[in-house]
Amino acid sequence: MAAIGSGKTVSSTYAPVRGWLLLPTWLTIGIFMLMPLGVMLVYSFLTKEFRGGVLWEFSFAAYDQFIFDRGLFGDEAPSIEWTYITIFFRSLVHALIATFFCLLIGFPTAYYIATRPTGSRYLWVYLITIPYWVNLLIRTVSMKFLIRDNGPINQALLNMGVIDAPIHLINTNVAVQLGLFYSYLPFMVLPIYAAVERYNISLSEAGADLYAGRWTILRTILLPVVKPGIIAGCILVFVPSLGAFLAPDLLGGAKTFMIGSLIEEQFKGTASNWPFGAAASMILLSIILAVLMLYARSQARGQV
Amino acid sequence: MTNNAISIRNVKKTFGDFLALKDISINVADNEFFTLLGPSGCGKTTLLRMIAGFESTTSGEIQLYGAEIEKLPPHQRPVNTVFQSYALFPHFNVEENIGFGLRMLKWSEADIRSRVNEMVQTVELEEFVHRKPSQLSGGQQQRVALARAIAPKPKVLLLDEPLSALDLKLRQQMRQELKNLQRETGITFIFVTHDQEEALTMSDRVAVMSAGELQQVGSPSEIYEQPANRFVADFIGETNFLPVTVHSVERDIVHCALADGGLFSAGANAGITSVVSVGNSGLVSLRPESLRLLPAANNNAQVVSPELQQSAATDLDLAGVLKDISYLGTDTSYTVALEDNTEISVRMQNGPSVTSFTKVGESVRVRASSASARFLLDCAQ
Repeated sequence: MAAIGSGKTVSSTYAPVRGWLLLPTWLTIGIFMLMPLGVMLVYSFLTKEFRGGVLWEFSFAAYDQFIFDRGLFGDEAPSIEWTYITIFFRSLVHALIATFFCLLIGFPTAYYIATRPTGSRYLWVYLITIPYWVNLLIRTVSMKFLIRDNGPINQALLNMGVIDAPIHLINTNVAVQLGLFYSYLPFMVLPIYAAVERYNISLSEAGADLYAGRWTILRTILLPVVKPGIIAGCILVFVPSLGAFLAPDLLGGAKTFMIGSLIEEQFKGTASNWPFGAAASMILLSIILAVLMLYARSQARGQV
Repeated sequence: MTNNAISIRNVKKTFGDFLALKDISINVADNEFFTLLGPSGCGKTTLLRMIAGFESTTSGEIQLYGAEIEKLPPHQRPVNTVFQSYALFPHFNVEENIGFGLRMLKWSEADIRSRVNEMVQTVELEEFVHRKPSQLSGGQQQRVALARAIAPKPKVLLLDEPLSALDLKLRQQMRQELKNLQRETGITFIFVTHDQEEALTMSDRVAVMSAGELQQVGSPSEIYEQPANRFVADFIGETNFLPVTVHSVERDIVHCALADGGLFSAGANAGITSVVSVGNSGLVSLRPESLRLLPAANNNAQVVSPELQQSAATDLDLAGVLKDISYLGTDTSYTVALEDNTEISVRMQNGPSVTSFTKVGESVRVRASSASARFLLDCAQ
């Protein structure tokens, strides 16, 4: 039970995975992840074809378009193009806020589940996953019906006399936030649940025994010990929120246009600019990778 | 009004409809090494957790130096706990773990530093102050847990089976260190264990518990030599039981009749002689090391000691056949089958002056003086 000795014992017989057993994994990653990424990387440096598709001519045009405004005909002196950067920052802010609320609601939820008796604990985890049995599109559309001006929530509040006029939610930032929050909450709950479940509750008792009150125990013992679960949850919510397009498309409007929708438009919408979509994807990807690497480095420094 | 460190009065505890503690009353004296001993599930840990404040009492009261404490949350009780799993904070190093309670008590930085240094020296962990718990061995983790609990100078230290995760050699060494630490610090220790050897070697007094009830409270020699009932006699050390009928009763001696009519005398606690009457059935507990084995032919050479003659006590004398011999180094353990096939184990020290028996199947006699036999009531256990 208690770890005796200072190092982890690694079995020399069972620990190493034989190389060829990893072949299917490498093939899957290679064909379905690395190759599409490579294609996008190449496309981002090509020239657009007007009806979609690409011309095989090398060009920085896509990246240039993202950052610089050269006038309608491309012949003016370049100035910074704020449109896409604004969309980018809006997405970043939305993703951060969604992550914050998911954490605010997700942590107590996960803690509650993890501290139930074993039997009911699994039932709660099962309940958390139930919304995932329904397609994300359907869930987002349902949300739209729920919150629209003459939807059931507004009607109920009107009937009860709580409000005089319907609360206008659709096409607002709040609606987008609701959509993101609802879509990604379980991604926050599950890793935190896993971390809290492993948490030895006698650590909290030891804290109380050593004169720490409830908040101090939460702040100085529980949160630091389950931090890896919290970080994992934040990453799992932040990353897909940043690139989300369903919630902003269906619940938001022009003012809540996000990077995910921008990219989507370039490939299947009216804009039809593959190199530009690919370039926007690459920029998004590099920012996410940069954030993750910063996190990984800070973790590595935390270890002794 | 009292110099009791802890006074537990009529404490009961129920979990649902399970009665975990049935009306427990114990006083623990100031500066005492007090042990709660019992098999798992006997309620000893529940009682300890009540003193710490992790469990509430269903009824009854707990006092710390005369002051009611059961309304206080754990962090306001001046008692500290050494947890069975140590419960060291994994994200803090040794120094930070030991200083945690002091920081919570808002000691000054300088005081914290000097107290932590003092504790680190006491438990001999000077080289490891910057290590995390995961980088320490089990024994070292144990010392950190101990130092962390003692650092805030608690009025009472609670220890929940702290040695159970250590290997035998380390456990034996830690027993002595714990005992020394208790003497040096003068802190009252309440120690929970299921290991009777641990309880006997370390404690000033031991409370034996079973099924939520207190069976006996006394010094290690009292509970070993004068067990109050069958449970205590059986749980503490090794013993043989013989069913008997009461023939006559004196103040601290019961004269017993065996099934075959043979008479002998056994010591008994006052609590037993006051309730027992002639004709009652009971048990006699015979410690293996208090029995002597004699050759069957040597029947006439018995020596009756003078004090036995004075009190008109009769020694137990049984005939049997050697069934098994185990050589244990300093001792030899013999199993003797009596005429009614009851098996009795006898343990005798090896030495030049001791007749040793080497043949299984040999006829022998088993003798016990009335001072070493204890009469007990045969309560259903």
